[in-house]
This record gives sequence, C-alpha cells and structure tokens, in this order.
Amino acid sequence: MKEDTFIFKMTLDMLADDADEAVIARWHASEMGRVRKGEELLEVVTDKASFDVVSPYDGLLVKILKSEGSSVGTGEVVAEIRVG
Amino acid sequence: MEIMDLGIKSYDDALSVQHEILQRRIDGSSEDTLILVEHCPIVTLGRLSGNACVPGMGDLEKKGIPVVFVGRGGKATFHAPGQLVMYPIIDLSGKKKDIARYIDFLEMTVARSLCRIGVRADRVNERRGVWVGADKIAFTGVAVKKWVTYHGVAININNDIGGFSLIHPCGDKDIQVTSARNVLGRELDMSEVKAVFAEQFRRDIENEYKKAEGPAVVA
Repeated sequence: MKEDTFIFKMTLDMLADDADEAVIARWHASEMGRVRKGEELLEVVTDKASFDVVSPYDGLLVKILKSEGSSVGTGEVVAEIRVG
Repeated sequence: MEIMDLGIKSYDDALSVQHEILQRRIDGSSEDTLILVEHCPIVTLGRLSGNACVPGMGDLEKKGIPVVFVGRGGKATFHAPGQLVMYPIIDLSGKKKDIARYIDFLEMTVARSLCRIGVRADRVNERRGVWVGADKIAFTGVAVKKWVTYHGVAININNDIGGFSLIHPCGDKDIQVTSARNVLGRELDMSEVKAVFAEQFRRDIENEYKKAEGPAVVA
C-alpha cells in the first residue's frame, strides 16, 4: 500500500440515539468498486427513518462488513474504504 | 419556506409531488417546502413492516382500502381524509446532521400545534410519535436523501380512526389511537387547523436550527 493511502472504517454516526433497530436495506456499491466522495453507498432504515449514506472520500470499497438485511448499531463498522 | 396545501390527494399523486420537490431541493432550485395534504383511505407500510402489521388485511380488501409499501422508516399507519399529513422537504445539509433530533423537532412542533387547537398533547420519552395521555394522535416516519428530508408526520384531526383497528399501528398491537375530534368532541375546520400547524412549523424550525447554528454563548 502506498504511504499516502489509508483505510477508512465507515460507521453510521448519524444514527445517534434513534437506532433501536437499524437495518442495512440496500448497498448501492460493490466490494472492490471505486467510490466517489458524495456518492450514495447504502440505504439504512431505522424505526422511524430511512436514509442514504454517502461516501466521505474518493477511494476503493475494499470490504463490506454488514450485508443487506443486517442489523447495525452506532459505532459499528459497516465497510472499509481505501482512500488515496 | 414555502407552504403547499395539496388538499385531498391520493397517496401516489402526493408522493409524486414530494419526489419532484425533493429533487428540486437537492438540486438547489427550490426552497424548503412544507407540504400539507389529506390522503384518500390507504394503509402504508414503512421499510421495517411485515405482513404481521396488518392483521385486518381481508377487511381492508373488502372495504377497497389499498395497502402499499413505501420508502420511509417506521412500520404501519392508516391515512384517511380529515387526517392532516405534513411532508417537510427541508435541507439539513447546512444544519445539524442528526436525524433523531429532526424527528424530535417534528414531534415537538406537532405537539405545540395540537395544544394551540385545544388538545393537550406531548412527546413521550422512549416512544416515538405524539400522545394524548396514553393514546397516540400523531405518527412519524421520515426519509432523508442527501440530507434533504421527505415523508414526515400524520396527525389525526377529524378522520375516522376505525381503520387503525385493522392494523398494528407502528408495529405495536397494543397502541390505542385517538383524534382531535375524539378529544374535543367536535369537528374542526381543517383550513384553520392547517394554518395553525403551518405557522407553528415555520416558527419552530427557524428557532430550532437558528438556535443550534448560532454563535456559542459565553457565560
């Protein structure tokens, strides 16, 4: 890996305290695919909200750790993006 | 902020309007908008709903009331004319990006509006929606795309609440439902009700987000 790259571990911080039941509804991106900053990566559903999560960086989506239908909590890593 | 009153409109038609305004707001070609509407009778199921949320499916079919899955959070709810539905299309991108807080705000402005029309309603910690004592009067279910909100909140005003007995509102079979008409014992003028809710919403959203984004106060 080049020195100016790093692995970004993506969490769903915007869930805050509304995430009694948060589920990954859909991934719009695939493992080992390029992603762009601002691109919608996945859709998450909680007890009262559904929302898109966008990539914070340009990079390579190296690993999806939470598949569609999985429950996820605040602070849990859902994917890893190689940035740079 | 623009206020748009669609009157009584089918769910599908109102959804098309929502999507159109949502896209314009994302593009930056329109301002924040509060859509007010009453729907023709329909049961909508949020993304976490299952068939267990609709035990009265057969009765709904007999009555010709459609049941549709929709792209908001939350579970099952019932819409009918006389129920005020508010769909705020609000750009949160320059504000505090906190969805739970936005739903808190939505519930609070609805509770305040209900109080203004004489219904003593409030939020309840740990339970979503707006309540009159132990009875639920308003139902939230929102969606957010590129930090612009859509979907929103439905408030029982004059509508017949019998349809709620055919579903498990919000996925909870034990919820008791009420309306402003039930609480007050009289029919309300919907145009007056809409004016109160719109004015309160406009005032509350300015205060809520101005307060948060303003400069820190030094004691």
